[in-house]
Amino acid sequence: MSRQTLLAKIRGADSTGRGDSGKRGTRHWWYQRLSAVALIPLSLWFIYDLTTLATLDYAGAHSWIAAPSTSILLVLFIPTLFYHALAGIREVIEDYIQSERQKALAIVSMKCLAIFCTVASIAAVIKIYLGL
Amino acid sequence: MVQLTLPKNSRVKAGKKFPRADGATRRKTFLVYRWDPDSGENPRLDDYEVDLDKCGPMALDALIHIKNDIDPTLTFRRSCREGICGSCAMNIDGVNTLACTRDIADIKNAVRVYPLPHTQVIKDLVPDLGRFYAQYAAIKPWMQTRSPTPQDRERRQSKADREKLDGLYECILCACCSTSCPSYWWNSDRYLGPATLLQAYRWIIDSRDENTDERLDNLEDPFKLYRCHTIMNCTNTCPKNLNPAKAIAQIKKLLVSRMM
Repeated sequence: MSRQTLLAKIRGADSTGRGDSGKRGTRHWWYQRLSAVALIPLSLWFIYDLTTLATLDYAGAHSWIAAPSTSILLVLFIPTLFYHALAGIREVIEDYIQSERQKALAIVSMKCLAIFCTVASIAAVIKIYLGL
Repeated sequence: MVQLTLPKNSRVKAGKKFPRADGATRRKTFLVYRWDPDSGENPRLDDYEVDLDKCGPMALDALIHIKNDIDPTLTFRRSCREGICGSCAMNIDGVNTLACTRDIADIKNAVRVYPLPHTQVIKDLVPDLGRFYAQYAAIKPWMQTRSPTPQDRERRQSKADREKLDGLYECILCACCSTSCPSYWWNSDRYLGPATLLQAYRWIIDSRDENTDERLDNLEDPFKLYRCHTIMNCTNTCPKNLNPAKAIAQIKKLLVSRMM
């Protein structure tokens, strides 16, 4: 059992080498808010367009994505969406997973997943846009 | 993962039923959390019936009546009995509050009395607040200045600057808010909690304090400050009607504007 005083533990909470602490946090918090605000118009647009997609066939959906306005909005929407999702999931992981190893593992795998989904989605949009 | 259920030896069992209040016209049942560290037994919920004509109107009056006249083994903290010392903070009828300012008449059914949630219990209604006080000490809750003390007078403050402390200086550190916060339940080893952050803000916006930047530096941390997810339990429960959630939001605003 550690004989460190309670005050030493509280004050040292950012220098105990527990990995993800230290002088940051504001940027993460601020970007989460910014991406949330950006997602309001983008998601409204995306959901509205999705409802019109329901009646289209494959070729129709293909030409919807190939339209320059849709491609540009999708390229803005996809990274914002995955960034915001990752920021939110990271908060949940930090809240509830207490083992530092599991926490780091969960955050890194979520990051990889988000990057993979973003890159794959954007590549698909570009491919359709260029007609490859 | 965080532990979402109570460990086996912390599960609350049915307790003793004490004699009914014979001949009472106004009576109220109090179900009180009891735990004795020396007995090795699980916590239990003791059942007392209180004659409301034999005690004052507040929950603390009933607890004092129980201790004096029904069961002297009941343990709780109390001091000023007028909402200024913060000693008798406990969970009454599901809400963290001060027993001395909680009117029994406002509670329908039986009055359930528990210690502050998610704290280590020392005995009965007495929680261990050691970490809570250490967190308060960690924000250096005193005025820090660089300029020399004026020789002939106090450090002056304008009326407008003094008004910025209203809604903050009234905090009595009873710990009702911090122990009502789920983020504090899961991460109280690193998250400072609403009470300490409200106190931190009280010094950050004090016009006489000259260490504002260092104070903000010390809070710039994903755990110390940013475990606050604006759940607002702190503001709902504060027995002094203060708004710790707003104070925390102000700190975040200051940090963002400093970053820009």
